[in-house]
Amino acid sequence: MSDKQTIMELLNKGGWAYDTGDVDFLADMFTEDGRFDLQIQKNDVIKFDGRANIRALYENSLKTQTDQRRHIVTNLFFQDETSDSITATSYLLLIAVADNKLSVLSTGVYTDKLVKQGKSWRIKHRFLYLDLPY
Amino acid sequence: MDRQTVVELLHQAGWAYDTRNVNWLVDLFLPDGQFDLRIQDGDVLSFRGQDRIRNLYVDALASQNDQRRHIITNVFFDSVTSTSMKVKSNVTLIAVTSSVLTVVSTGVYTDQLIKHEDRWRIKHRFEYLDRPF
Repeated sequence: MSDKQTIMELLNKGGWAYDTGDVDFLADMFTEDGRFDLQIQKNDVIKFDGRANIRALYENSLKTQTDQRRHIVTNLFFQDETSDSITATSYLLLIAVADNKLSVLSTGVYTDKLVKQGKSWRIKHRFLYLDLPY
Repeated sequence: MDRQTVVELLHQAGWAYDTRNVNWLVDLFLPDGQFDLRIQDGDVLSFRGQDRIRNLYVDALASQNDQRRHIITNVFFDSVTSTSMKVKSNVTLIAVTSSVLTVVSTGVYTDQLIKHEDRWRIKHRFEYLDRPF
């Protein structure tokens, strides 16, 4: 499988992992020293440094949500490719379903800088810009 | 590999519009590229050449102060050779203001691409929209 195909599946599975509450997978997507920066509209960027803090972000977010989330990941393209690093840009369409109602909560853009560690690609830096709060 | 490149190109086109990167967007077309747009049962509006395509995008962007998101899905290939491809994709067009997200329209792109000097570019784009944008 090509590296791009592997990364596409990683990012797609990241959406699935959140929606199924698989925090282990979500945390393992990042390098040990990975960083997740989150900006909602024009507000300040919220930074989460290191895999442990990123795991806590996901755990805390999931606790506050009783609806079924669906992270629709689309529009993936790549830039700055080397043999062991790449930048991936993709879109997020965030849907919540509860009580027979479906709401499109937000859209956004992921900018992921990934590195190859052995045979695995992991996110070194994720920047998520959201058009609306989640 | 060529298919992957073309899929990424279509994704970039959505992203480039949404980030108002007109130079990037126009450069995805060949210099003599054509963009045909049909909204519902209206007449087809044709824009031939990079300059006219640029003007279309500049005018459209000037009329919009919301954040657009062109969600590209359902990409498949109708025909593929070593130097040309015909590919279809769906667009779900979203507009976001400071507090409201609206699904503005859905539609279908039919793109003919040519590989020229080792680079894929759009020779002809036909966009059909189910509602005005």
